[in-house]
Amino acid sequence: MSIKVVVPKSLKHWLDGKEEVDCEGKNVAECIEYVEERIPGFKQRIVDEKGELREDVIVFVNGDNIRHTEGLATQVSDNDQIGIIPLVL
Amino acid sequence: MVIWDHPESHYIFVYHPKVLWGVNYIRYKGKRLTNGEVLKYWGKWVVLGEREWLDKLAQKLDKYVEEEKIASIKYTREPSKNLRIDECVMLVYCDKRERDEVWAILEEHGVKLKAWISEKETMEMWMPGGRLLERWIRTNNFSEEQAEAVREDARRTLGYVFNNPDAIYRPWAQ
Repeated sequence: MSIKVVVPKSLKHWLDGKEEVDCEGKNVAECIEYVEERIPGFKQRIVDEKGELREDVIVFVNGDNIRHTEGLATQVSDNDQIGIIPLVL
Repeated sequence: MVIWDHPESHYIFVYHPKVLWGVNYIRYKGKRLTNGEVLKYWGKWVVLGEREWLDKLAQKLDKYVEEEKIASIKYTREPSKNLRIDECVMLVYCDKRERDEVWAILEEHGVKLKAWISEKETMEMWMPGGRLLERWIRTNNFSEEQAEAVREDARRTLGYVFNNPDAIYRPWAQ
């Protein structure tokens, strides 16, 4: 199973110098944990101390903002993309 | 060529010349959208990239705007100072019911990160109390009086869209 986490070039330091990494998990939260185990510090970029999505990032699954689906519990499956951008608009 | 680069504007635009004749580009299958339809269907793919790359991408996308496969595009002239990124932001507008076709075009031209933001969400973020408006007020160190004037303007402009769902949507100058 492979799900991609993708960030813009200027945030590639979040992913240890890469713009995309593969991960595994049944939902966004599990995928974030998967990446955190390999790139410590990643999770705190996305999730605040209460375990909620940070206000200054937008996370998408296949293009859709997870704030409008099930948040961090949004399910993912093989070949899905988790995109992350800062709040830019 | 339908790229409009006016140095006084924060954005560089790609839109069909008929927009200059007063034709509203916010349409679906040739029909103008109401405020309610805009809130339900209108939005944009967000593309982040360095200015040089976005300039090249805009030139490649130009023909799709001319063919009216893409409604319009705008991108920032330079990275915003209050963001944590060094990239410019391109917004590729279309109706949600056509966004998959537009995404296929973007993907074909090298866009990888898939990020759709609805116009409703953007407007909510620019309403009083919204994340973007309040951040903008803080960034500009407005006095409370200035901040209230900004909020009132947002309430009036965007509130009209939310409160008049059957009226034809009219974009404002940027």
